[in-house]
This record gives sequence, structure tokens and C-alpha cells, in this order.
Amino acid sequence: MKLDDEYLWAVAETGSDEALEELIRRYPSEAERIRSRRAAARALKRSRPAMTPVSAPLGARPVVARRRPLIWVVGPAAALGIAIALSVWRFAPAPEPIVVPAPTPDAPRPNLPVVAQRTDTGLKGPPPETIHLRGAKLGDAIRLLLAREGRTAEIAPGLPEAVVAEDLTTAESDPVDALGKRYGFTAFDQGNGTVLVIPAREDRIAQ
Amino acid sequence: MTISFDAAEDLVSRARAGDRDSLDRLLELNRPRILLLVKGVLLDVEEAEDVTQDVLANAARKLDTFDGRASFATWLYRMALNRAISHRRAPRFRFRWLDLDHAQSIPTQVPVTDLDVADALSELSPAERGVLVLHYWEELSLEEIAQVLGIRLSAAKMRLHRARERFRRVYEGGTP
Repeated sequence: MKLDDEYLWAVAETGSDEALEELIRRYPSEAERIRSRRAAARALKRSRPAMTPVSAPLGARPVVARRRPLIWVVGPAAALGIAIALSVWRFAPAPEPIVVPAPTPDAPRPNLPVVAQRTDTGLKGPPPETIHLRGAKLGDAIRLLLAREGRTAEIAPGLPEAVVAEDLTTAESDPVDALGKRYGFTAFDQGNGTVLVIPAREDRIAQ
Repeated sequence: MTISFDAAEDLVSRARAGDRDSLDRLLELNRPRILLLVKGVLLDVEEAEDVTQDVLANAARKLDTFDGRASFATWLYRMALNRAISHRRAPRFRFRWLDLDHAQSIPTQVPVTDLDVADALSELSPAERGVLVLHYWEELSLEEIAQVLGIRLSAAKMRLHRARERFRRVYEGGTP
């Protein structure tokens, strides 16, 4: 089977090494085409020259900060500090002594502010859902599951023409992975909202 | 859809209102990416610097014609790409006054460090290089590339596909 060029470029540019090697294992006759596009895409990306950082705005004139003599700063600061200290000492009222009432067993308790206590409300994440898939083609089922999470699927040719009849629960780590184990494909999350779905080889399915 | 570096819309409006500082800042913010695109199309650092300066000066002069239908970045990219392509298509003879002692071949500063890639890119047309640079260096999506080129998405997809296939063949040592 000959893979579509557009698909090969998409895999070459976005696929992880793992996904690429899996694709080559699945389609050994296409290994050269796959690796060739991978090499070209990588070379183009790596050849990107470094960008010149944004400097000061065009036409802006540099401002030279002139250093003032140290005495200009220290002198007024010291004078200001002394003035504040003197005024506080002269005008501040004497502090009243703190009277701590002796605790009496019958005295009413003062109204203390209520501090919210963190209690275990028993709240957890959303309850697991069960997804009933009946009579859906495998490809459609994968797309449906991924679309629930806002992800899209790039499905390599060769996916089994199976009709899915499964009850999957979201309590499983990833329902798509669970589906993959049952129907023979591997899903590679590309990290950009796309999941690459590569069917397993026939020899692996047979095992 | 937004293009990432076009984050200064208020700068655009202030610049259009005649604020010179905002205009300077706006152009300076966009300069690195425009220079990158022009370098990729021309494959010559010195020429790219000159053309980028022309593009930015032209953008400053024509700012009142920017209608805001596309983003400012798209508008600037389009202007830069067209200018760079027309510059490359122009006759390559340029007169430089030199002392006879220095009248030797002047090495061209190629912006691409990988010479195999530079060689392969030089076999492509400026327009093909432009599409590749927008995609691989500027990391624009196909939709954004279509906007810059002023063509439909399907046409942009086709152009990108042809350009990278030609690049691949040349890069592998085949015929373009």
C-alpha cells in the first residue's frame, strides 16, 4: 500500500520519533519515503537562522544615566530620617499598658471572628461516564472519543474495518488507548491537540 | 485567527493616528521576522538587510492604506514577500565602486548555516522559498500562509506541497 504524500509530510513534520518508527514497521516498503521527508523537514527547520532580537525603538536616543555624587543621596536621606525620628519621639503619645483580663470560668466568651474551617466535603472530580458505542466504525469511534476532549485524529491507512460495540468508561486512563488494545492500534499524542493513530501490524494482531 | 507577533494592535491604531513613537516601536517589533523571511527568499544577508529596511520604510509611508481586513503582520508579511521576490527577479548586476586591489569576488553572506540546505534552497524559485520560509521558519499555519499570499487555502496547500517536494528532491541530490 502506498501512503499519501500529504500524510507522510504531516507525520514527518509533527510525528514523534516513536510514531515514525512505528509507521515504518507497519509499512516497511515506505520506509525510504518516510525517512526522506523526515530528513528534509528536519533540515529545513534546523536551518532557520537565529532571529535578531528586538532592540530599542527606531529613532530612539539612548539616555545616559548620570551618576550623582553619593553625598547628594546620603545627606538628604540622613537628614530626613533624623527629622522623622525626632517628631515621633516628641509627639507620639505614650503607649497604654496592655491589660490582660484574668480568665474566669463563668465569664462569657467574647465574639471572636469565625474562621472558616476547611472540611472534607467529599467532592472529587467528575464522576466517571460510560460511553456506549454501538454500530460505529472504528475510525468514527476514535474521532468521537477524541473530539470529546477537543482533540483530533490523524489516522494512518490500514485501520481495521471493524464495527465497534463497546462500553467504555472514562474511569479508564484513556478510553482511546483501551480501544487500541482491543482493536489493534496505537495512539500517539503529538502534544498539539492531534493524536496519531497507527494500526498495529498484522503479525502483531495475530499474536 | 491571529499571528503571534502581531500582538500590538493598539500600537497600530496609535501609529495610524500619527504617533511616531508607536510607529517606530511597531516596525521594530516586526523587524526580526520580516528580516527572517527576506533572508530566506534572498539567501543573502546584506541584501536582506537592505530590502527589509525598504519594506519597513514603505510600510511606514503606506500605513494609511492598511485597512485592517488582515492583521498588520499579514499585511507586512505580504509586502515583504512581494518586495523580496521582485528584488530577486530584478537583474543581478549591481555596480559597486571598488579599488582594483579589492576587485575580487565578494563572498556572499548566506543566512543558512547548513550549506546543503542553502544549496537546495538556491535551486528553488524565490516564491517557493517564500512558502517554505513562512511554514518552516516563521511557523505560520496553512491558513495564515494563504492569507499572506492572498490565495485560497487549497491553493496554499498545493504550493507548500510542491515547494517541499522540490526541496526534498534537490536536497537529496536529485534534480529539482
